[in-house]
Formats: sequence, structure tokens, C-alpha cells
Amino acid sequence: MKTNHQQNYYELLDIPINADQESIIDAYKKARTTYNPNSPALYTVFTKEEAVELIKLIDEAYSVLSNQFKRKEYDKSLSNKTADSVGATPPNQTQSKVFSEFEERLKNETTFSGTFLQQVRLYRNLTVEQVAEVTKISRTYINAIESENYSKLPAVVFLRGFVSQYAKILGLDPVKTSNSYIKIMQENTKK
Amino acid sequence: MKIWAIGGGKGGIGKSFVITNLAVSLSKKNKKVLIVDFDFGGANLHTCLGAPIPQKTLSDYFTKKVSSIDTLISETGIANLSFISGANDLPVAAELKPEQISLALTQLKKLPYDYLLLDLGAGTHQNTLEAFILADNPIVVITPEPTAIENAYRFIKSTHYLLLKKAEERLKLSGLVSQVMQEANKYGIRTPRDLVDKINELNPKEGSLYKKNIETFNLKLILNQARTTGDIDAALGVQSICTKYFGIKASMVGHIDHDNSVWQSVRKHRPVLLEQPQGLLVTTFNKIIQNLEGNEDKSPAKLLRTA
Repeated sequence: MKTNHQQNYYELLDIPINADQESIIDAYKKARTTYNPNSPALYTVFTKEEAVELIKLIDEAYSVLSNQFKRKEYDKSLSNKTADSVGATPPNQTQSKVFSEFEERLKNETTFSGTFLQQVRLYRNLTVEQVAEVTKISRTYINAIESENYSKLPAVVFLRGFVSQYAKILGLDPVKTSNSYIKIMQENTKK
Repeated sequence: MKIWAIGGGKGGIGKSFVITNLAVSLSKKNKKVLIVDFDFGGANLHTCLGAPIPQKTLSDYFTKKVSSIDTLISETGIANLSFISGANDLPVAAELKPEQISLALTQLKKLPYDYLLLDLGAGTHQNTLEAFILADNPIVVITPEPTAIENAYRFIKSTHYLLLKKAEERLKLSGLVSQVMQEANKYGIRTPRDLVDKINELNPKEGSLYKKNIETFNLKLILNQARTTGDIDAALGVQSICTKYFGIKASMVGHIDHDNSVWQSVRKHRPVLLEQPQGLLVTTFNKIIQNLEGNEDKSPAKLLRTA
């Protein structure tokens, strides 16, 4: 059995193709708990490797569908596969230019400050509440991370975990983001 | 009359407990309920109901000692709730044929009750599955233990297979089910869905007939002995895996929290709902009944009847 059963991202998250951002987040949250590799429901159906692959696919589905730009591209490739995309509506040129500029910046960015994380969150159309719900990090910490209110943040070892989780939801590299965030924090608190 | 059947593969997960208390809840709603112990060889429903060891059992019916099945009915002492005890003689139980089961069900259906509740035994014996697929509400009980879930999967897979075989027989199809299963390893078939997909690939016309048949089957899941929200997540996982990866529609109709009053009531030989008429479990069972009533319309039993 193929763990993905050749499912597309929408099928993986069990959502309709026109799902809004909120339902995508809800579905992702649900899929992550339902297909947690340690769940007894998966045992005997999937091997450990398949379970891990499946959760990776679910993460991947979310990172694409929650990102308006990537989602549009993906939808295009989906309809190409199914109907050779005859009569597909051309994407809004100026809008996609703004998107691609920000996407470009996301790819190349090396410093991840709180402000930048907030920008990415807004660009992804996510509220603090939604991030809190998915990551299980409290809103207070998310706000503190974004506003760089260091005194409110927990010890570095916890903070690293929080920022990594947050970065994942934003579709950023968790290791790069948390390293950079903590480096900036340490520089700022030294002063 | 509506038939509800409870199965679930593993023993000791609370099938008799669940069905007894569903029966009590229904009888309290002024529905006439007949509960039948279909656990061939392991009948113990009378104990759950607090009824004496019955003189006559389904064995007498299957060995033709009694001419009609209604002579087996005993009263439980609970208003609106009657029961028939299971066949406990091993030789009788071992020799039962699926045709005898469906014949017994046909006769039970003629009795003047609103609900016929079947307590099925553990395991995936064809007699058990035969009764299961004929129910309007085929219910699988699981507990959050990996062993219970593993057995539930086996039970559900076996049910799926029997449904395919029945469809093959009824629609006079070409025997692809066994053919494909013989080559299961070669084709990489691990789930019921893989099997149907393969049949569909080899013979799209028959494939779609099989698919249509399976789609009308909707099994219900009840999680028993839930202790944490993680347990409920696991049950939702089972629901999702059945639907997505087995290709057999499953709907979770409720969960029953772990409750010490349950084993205490079993030791007292009394249904917990009668022991604790104000307890939380009353609400739990009422909710489960509501959910079961809500989505039982498209049952195979009805389709078989109309076909």
C-alpha cells in the first residue's frame, strides 16, 4: 500500500479544493493528531517508516496549501494533470509579483527577527490564535516572540523548541530560524 | 424492526456491556427491545442483564428441539426488554452454518419488537460476520489498546471481504476477488481498498459494482474505556483509516469514558444504567443512540431486502 495512495494535498488533509485558510488550519491540526506516528490507530496498518512519511506529507500539504502563492501554483499543476488546464484563469499579474518578491525574500532570508516572523505570519494570512492552536504554544509566548519581549520568554532551551515549531507553521526552516532568532536575542540582551 | 449488531474482534472490550446498556436505554424510551446473544459458544448476556441462567437457548432452536424461535424468549425483569440466550453447547456452535444464521435472523425479524439487538462474539468467524453485515447498524466496539484496535481492523477487513464475496455471489461476477487475493503479495495488496482498486484495474465494470456495494456499508464505531483525549484521537484515527485506507465508511458514534461504576455493576449482575439511573453514562448512551438513529438509513440490510 502506498501511504499517500496517490492522494493530492487536499485529499491528504480531507478538505475540498476551495477550502478557506481557516479550514486548512483546522484540517491540518486534525490530521496531525489523527496521523500521529505514535497513535495506536496506525499500528499494524502502516510501518513506522510509512507513518513518518505520511506525517511528512501532511506537513508538506499544509505548507503548500496554507501559502497562497504556493497553493495557486499547486492548483495549477493539479488542473494541468486532470484537464490540461484549458480555460484556466490567468493569475493576477501584480498580485503574483508581490507574492513572488516576498517568496524570493523568504528563500534568501538569513536573519529571523520577531518582526520578520510577524511579517511572514501576516503574509501567510494566519492569526496569532491560529498559530497557537496548531503549535500548542500559548498566545502570550507567540506575541512575545514577535515583539521580541525577551523578559516574557522562557529559557533558551524551550524557546528554541517554540521558535522551531512556529517556523514550521510558517513554512520556514526550523533550525535556521531558531538559531538566528536566538542569536539576535543574545546580541540584543548583551547590550 | 431495526437490527443493531455489535462486534469488534477482541474479547473483553465491553461488547456485551455496550449492547446491554443500549438495550436498557432504548427500553426506557418505551421501545420494545429484543436482545439476542449471538456469541456462539461464549454466551453470557444473561449475566449482564441480571437474568437467571436460561432453560432454553438458541442451541435448542438450531438442534430443532423447539419449533419456533419465539419460544426461547425470556423476560429480563426490565420493562420492554426481552432476551434470547445464546447457544452454549460447543458441538452445536461449532457446526453452525452461515445459512442457519441468516435463517434465524429472518425469523427473529418477524417478531413484534422495535429493535433487535445482537451481541456478537469475539473473533471473525463467518457466522459472526454473517449477522454483522445484515444489521441496519453494524457497530464495532474498540478500546484504546493496540490489541483491540488490531483485532478491530482484522474484523473490519474480514467484513469487507465477506461483503465482496456476497456481492460476487449475488451479482454473479467472475470470481476476481479470490483470484486477486491469491496473488495478493504479487500485487502488493495490503488493505481492502488495494483489493478493490486492483479488481477495478483488471475489470473496471465489475470493479465499480464492487465499489458501489461497499459504499452502501456504513459501520459505526464506539470507543469504550476512554481515559484521555488521546484515546479519542486514536479512535478518530481508526475512523479515518477505515474510510481512507480501507475504503469502508466508518462513523464514530460516541465514546464511553472509563468509569468504575461499570465493573462494579457487572459484578452485581446489573446493567449500569439501572444501578446508576442518574449517572453520566445515561447521557452517554442516549447520545450514542441519537447518533445511531441519525445515520442508519443506507444499510446493506435494506438494500439486500430491496434488491
